[in-house]
Formats: sequence, structure tokens, C-alpha cells
Amino acid sequence: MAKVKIQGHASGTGVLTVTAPNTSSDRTITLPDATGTLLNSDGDGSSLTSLPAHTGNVAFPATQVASADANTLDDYEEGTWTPVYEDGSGNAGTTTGGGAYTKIGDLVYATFQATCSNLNSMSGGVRMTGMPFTSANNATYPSGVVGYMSSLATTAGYSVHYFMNPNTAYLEFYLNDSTAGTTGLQHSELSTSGQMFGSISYKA
Amino acid sequence: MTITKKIEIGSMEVLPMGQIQVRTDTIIEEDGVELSRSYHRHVCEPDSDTSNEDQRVKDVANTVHTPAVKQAWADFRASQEI
Repeated sequence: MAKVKIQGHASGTGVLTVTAPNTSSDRTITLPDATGTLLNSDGDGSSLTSLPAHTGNVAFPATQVASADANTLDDYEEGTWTPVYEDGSGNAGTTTGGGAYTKIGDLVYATFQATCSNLNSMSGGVRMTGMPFTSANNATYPSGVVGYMSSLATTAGYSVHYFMNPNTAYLEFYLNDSTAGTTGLQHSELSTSGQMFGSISYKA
Repeated sequence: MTITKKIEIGSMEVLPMGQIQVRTDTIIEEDGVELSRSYHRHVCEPDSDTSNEDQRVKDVANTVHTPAVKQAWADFRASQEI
């Protein structure tokens, strides 16, 4: 049988107290077969049981265990998505490129680079579909600005903006060509070879 | 040693208005032991074309995207446009 040794600190003067829980059942704590220092915790430590801190990773389950608590981090995920240029009626242009995302809690950060090689039946305003998550239904309209664009049929000096409507999974594109603000980016302005790079952060 | 690549639907989440958030997993295995897993996501909305979706996504869409859900979605979309 292995022995149990409790040893006082050579210079410390504080008293170590082991307090029993308020229960009528027997409880057993089994220590790991390794040498180390127990994790410090000011609270009950319950939230630390799934954190494999010794590996340098914090792992979340592949399927989110959602929490409504505003102070609880309940999800992390990395992946890719496929941006597609479309019009408002769902007519898709031929699109090449790609997108990536990281989701932390309910915050999604998505990047994209997309080139249109054929407008096909697109008509009117331009959207980008394929977003990895649906935006939160909270009427805050997350938005962004195209960081790089080429081969668009627009006037020099105009910038292209985009935003997400609540509860949707696409970007709406706008051209900063109006004194009062913007107008919708038209398929003819995207052109058959338009390319845009961008990113957006939004609540899912 | 056999390296295999599998693509499967890893997760589907149905939102209150009928959107189906789909996660497609790409899994690399060596002799049946998983080496890596990567994710690709997209969303099927009630008015999305699901003809090219995985059969399991089609099955969920056929159940969830009822005419009433599609109409509610169309009304919502019309109300949200700015």
C-alpha cells in the first residue's frame, strides 16, 4: 500500500486546513500519478475541469453547448466558407476565391477574396452569399469596407461597402458614389471580372 | 498504412426562422485513426436552392421549409430591406 505523507513548509507559518464538504456521503479525491502543483482557483473551480491547461490548449466540443450567460465563453471554431456573388433574386455569378472564419462565443470574424468570372443571369444589386453563420436578429447591421478591389466598372475614388441585414447569411454591397451616402453596387459595376477582398465581424 | 479522406455533414442547426446552418467536416484518417478534421460552413435559408445539398440536408429542409415557413421568411426579408 502506498503511504500518505503530509509535510509542513520549512519557513511558512500558515496553517493548512482541509475542510470537509457539507455532505453525509463519503468522498474520495484521487491524485494523478505525477508530480506537480495543484491549480489555483478563487472559486469552486467547476469551470476549470474541462481545461487541459497543461497542453497549452483550450478545447471546446465540436457541437456548441450554448450558454445564455453573458459572462460565459461557450464556443470556438475555425473553418472555411465559399463566397458567391448573387443578385437579390438568387441568380449567382460564377465566383472563384474563398473565405475563412473564426467563431469565438457568438462573435464571427469572416474574411473573403472573391472574383466574378461570369455574371450569368445576375441583375440589379450585388450580394455575397455563403456566409458561415446567420447574423443575429438584433437590427445592428454589421458592416465593412472592401479592402482591395480590382476590375470593377466603377469610377475612380469610390469605395465599396457592405453590411449584413439581421438574421441573414449574406452581404449587401454598396458603392460610395452619392453625396448623401451610398447606392447599391450593381451587377454591371461588379463586371465580369470584378475582384474584392474584405472581412467582417458580426454577432451570430 | 492507408490514408483516407472523408467528407460528411458534421452538424446542422435549425434557427427559429428556418435557416439551416450546415457544417461540413473533412476528415483525414490513417488506418482508421483520425489525423485531422477541418470545417466548411454555409447556411440554407428557407428560399435557398437545396438541389445540390447532401441528402440529410435535403431531408431536414423538406421538413422544416414548409410553405408557411417560406412565406414568413419572404415577409421577414421584405421587412428587413433598407
